[in-house]
Amino acid sequence: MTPERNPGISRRKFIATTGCAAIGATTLLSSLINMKAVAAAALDKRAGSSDDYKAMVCILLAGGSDSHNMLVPRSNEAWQQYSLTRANLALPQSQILQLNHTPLNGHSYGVHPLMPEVRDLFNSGKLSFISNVGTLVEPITKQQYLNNNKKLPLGLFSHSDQVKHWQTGRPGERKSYGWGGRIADLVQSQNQNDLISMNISLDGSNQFQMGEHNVEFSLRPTGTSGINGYGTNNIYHNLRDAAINNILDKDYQDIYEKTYISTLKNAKEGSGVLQNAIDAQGELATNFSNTALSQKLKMVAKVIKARESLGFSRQTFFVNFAGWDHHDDTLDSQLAMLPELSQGLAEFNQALEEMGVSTNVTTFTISDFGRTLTSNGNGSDHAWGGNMLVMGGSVNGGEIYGDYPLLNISNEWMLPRGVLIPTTSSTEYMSELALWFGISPGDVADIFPDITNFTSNPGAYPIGFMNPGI
Amino acid sequence: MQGKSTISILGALLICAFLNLVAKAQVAVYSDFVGAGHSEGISVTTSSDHIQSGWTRHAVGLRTIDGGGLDSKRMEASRFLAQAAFGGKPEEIATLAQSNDFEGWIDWQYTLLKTDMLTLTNQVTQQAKNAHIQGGGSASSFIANSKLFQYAWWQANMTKQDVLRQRAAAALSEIVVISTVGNIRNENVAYASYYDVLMKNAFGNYRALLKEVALHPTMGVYLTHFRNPKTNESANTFPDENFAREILQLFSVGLVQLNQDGSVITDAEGKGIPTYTPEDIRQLAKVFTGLGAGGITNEAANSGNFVSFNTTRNNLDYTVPMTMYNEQHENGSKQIMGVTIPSGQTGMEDIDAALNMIMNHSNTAPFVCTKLIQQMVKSNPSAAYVSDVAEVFANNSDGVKGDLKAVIKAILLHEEARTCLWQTDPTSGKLRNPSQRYLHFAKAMALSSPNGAYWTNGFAFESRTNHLPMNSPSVFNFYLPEHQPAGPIREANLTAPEFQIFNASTSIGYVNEADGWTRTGILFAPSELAQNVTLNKQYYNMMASDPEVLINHLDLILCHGRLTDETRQIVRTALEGLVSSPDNLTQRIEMAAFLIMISPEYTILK
Repeated sequence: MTPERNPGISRRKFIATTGCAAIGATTLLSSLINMKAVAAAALDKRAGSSDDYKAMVCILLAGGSDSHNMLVPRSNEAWQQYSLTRANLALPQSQILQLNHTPLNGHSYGVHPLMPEVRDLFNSGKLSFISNVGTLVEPITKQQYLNNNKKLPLGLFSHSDQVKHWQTGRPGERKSYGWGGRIADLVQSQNQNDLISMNISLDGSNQFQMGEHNVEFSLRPTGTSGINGYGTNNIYHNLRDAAINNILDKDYQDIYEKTYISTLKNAKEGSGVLQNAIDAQGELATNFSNTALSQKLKMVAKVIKARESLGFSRQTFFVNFAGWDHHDDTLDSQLAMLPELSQGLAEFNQALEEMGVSTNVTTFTISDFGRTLTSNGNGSDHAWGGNMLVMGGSVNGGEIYGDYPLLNISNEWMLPRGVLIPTTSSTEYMSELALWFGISPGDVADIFPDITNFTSNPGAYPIGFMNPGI
Repeated sequence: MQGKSTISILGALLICAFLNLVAKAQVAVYSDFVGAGHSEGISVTTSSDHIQSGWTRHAVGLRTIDGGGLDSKRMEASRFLAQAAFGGKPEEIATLAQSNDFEGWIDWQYTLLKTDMLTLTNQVTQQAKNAHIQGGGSASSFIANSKLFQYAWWQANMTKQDVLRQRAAAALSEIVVISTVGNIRNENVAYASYYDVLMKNAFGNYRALLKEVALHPTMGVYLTHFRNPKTNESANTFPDENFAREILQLFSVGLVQLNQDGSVITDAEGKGIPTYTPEDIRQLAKVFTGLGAGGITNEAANSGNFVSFNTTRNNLDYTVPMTMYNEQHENGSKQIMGVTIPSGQTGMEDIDAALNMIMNHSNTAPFVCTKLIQQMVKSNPSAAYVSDVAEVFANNSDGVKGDLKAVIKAILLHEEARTCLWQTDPTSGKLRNPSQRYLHFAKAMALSSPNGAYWTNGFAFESRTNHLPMNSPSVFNFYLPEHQPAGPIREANLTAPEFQIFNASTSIGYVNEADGWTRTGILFAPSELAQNVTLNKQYYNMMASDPEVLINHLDLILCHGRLTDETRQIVRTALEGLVSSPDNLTQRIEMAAFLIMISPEYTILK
């Protein structure tokens, strides 16, 4: 050992090779699989063009939207039952906005008074509702539920489980990966871009877009940024950039270090490319409101606008609009939040029409669960079936799909506290979106293993709200 | 100099041999080592004694004999403080390394007075208000909102001595969650008062914690059991199920039945067995009816209002526990998870009975202990670790259940938190959450703080990293305990909660925060004050003149000696590229701190 100016040096070096570090890691766990390579081997690469572009935009209404006040019984008998059960949560019949639709079991429905944009989208054939849809492993009646002789979704009425099931499509299990992620595992290779995931999230990690191999690429409503100062041409930054790259390029054995570095490295490499492509497109003519949802949807539209330069022919987008867990103040909260949803959808639709891609993009909602029809004083609690909406030029618009049961408390689909058993499964709903997206029936059955409990022909659209035309 | 080196190398050799031996045998280590405690009466003189101003460490021969000069002890102390606190200042690390008595340190922490967050929040609020007015603002335009609690949180964590209590309270704040995102009035004391409940009971009993949480108006508003009336058949309204559900799912027993080692009890099909049914929730919801305001704000009182069950949350005093209004409490017996709560009790008696039921449930110990271990030490504790800590939760050896002091000690002193063998296991550790990365750095580094105010509203930080204390998106916290990121963690069927908020956006966001803390050098910049808290780069000039010294120092205080030779070489190359000049010394500290902060040896706590 050579003497050093500082006593720490030689000693430090010595300990580094004989202390904790020397005992050392011995298990080399398999590295993060390069999903692009896997996908590329499985499917032929096809050129992306605007003709062959499809995107799904998933809007999560996190917390469990009280959607019986979004899509509301409006004709007399249906409204009276609704009003009796909902008591102080019921909207006045006269305020409910009219939807022009084929009556459902003889009843007609409308939307919340502060959703005129959604009414207009519906009445002009650009939007439809799927009523009383929820997580199911297999069809179940009230008697079967009470007898406990059918398989149920795990963790019914629990936020974390139900919101997971909507995103995984496997309510009988607790899985880590989602159906959007599984789709990306299958079709990422159709995109020419192998730097940025086809699954773009405006709200970070989410189960919907988490594949077995594919991980979402997250950006903020303001876009994405690289590392500050990176690429500045001076001695300091040249040295720092080299060091950053050397840290990112090192091989790590520790599973947390490896995951940390692979995420950061992917972010660094993808963010600049993505932002440059977005910036090169210029602004959209469509005006977006200054709400959180509209600003997120604006960024989605900008990424879609850059699809060709980025080389994307298939994409999913994830947007979380949170804050729907209204155990309290349901009516007031909805007055504040439903307009944001309604306006955001209309603005996004306008932007898609501006870009000429409205038939290429389908926007849909998911939410943890519907809420109890009965009131807890001035709010509602966790329940089961709810109402979802789907928007886009490929949607068979202006219809209400599914069965919207009458909401009388003695209804055959009603459990205690006004919990409505779903009459359409989220699996059917999401399978249809996947089929429209171009996923083969075999793969759909693989992603949504319960689908065969609801249909004997997984290749057919189970509900019929999508138009397979394009 | 030569002599000094020889002694220290010899010492290190023997120590490491000892450590290896002990670690492999998997018994408690560090009880003693060569030289430790055996220096009394020995005087050592050596030509290598070297004391230099501005340096935090000096080469003194005696240190080699008494063990105080050995890096391994400092690294162990640094590692311990990274788990038991949010890291330590160099002198705190040195002191703990010298005593080498972690249990003694914990016991000392248990004797310290609790920082009173309500008092501190009010002090900070007054200071900020004064500064606001001095800066030309009007008194009426100053709003005492939750931002001021956030100021107080950082002030407490940066300056107060009760670091273990604060670390435990921060852990509890991610388990028994309230958040500014929600319907709580945007008011400083609403959060401070609740946080005091966490601080107080962090060194108390889990049952007492749950009771104070259940009665706290901030929780009452957040999970909506404030003003939750009994069933009203004629109005067709029923008890709110929100708090009843989450106290079970998130604060105590969880969704599925657990073994004492935290593993899931499975049925014949291999699936978990639910701990409760929807009917159990409806029954427990009845227990939490009847709670209303215990106090009203001065403004409300001055307007002629008085405290009653009808007091709205707008008039509610968030610092006074909720009161039971028995006439609004649902009478009758309740059947919950196999336990009968008899009829004819008062509301508070019902709540006590429900809390007893929860504490007696076999899930509570492994469920709560797993979450605490995940917060403080590692994402994937072994079954033995959970089991050992759960046993202490069930009985602190004096027959008391839920003694959190005993639990915290068991967590921190367990071999799985302490030994080299576990530290170097590639599946053992956790991603530090973003606030932890921020706070540890701020605490460990030399700062220039002209006004002693370590305040941040955290808005920009949160928007870049998706994390800020008491700001989670919902009662489910920022991340779920079972989160599995894609890649080797999921392939090994392990979990890593903090990775749920680590993505393409937040990973770069954190790097850019680190860039700001180092290159710009601003750590805290409250809008009320003219001067910021900045990184004291000059403090490191002496060290920066020798890259190796600087790297050693940062490695010790930030990474507890985990920097690999490769990373050290990467940092050294960058530093040596800046030839030694006064300006470059500043750039070297910026560069070194930045690179080490973004290296996985810092962000991953092992």
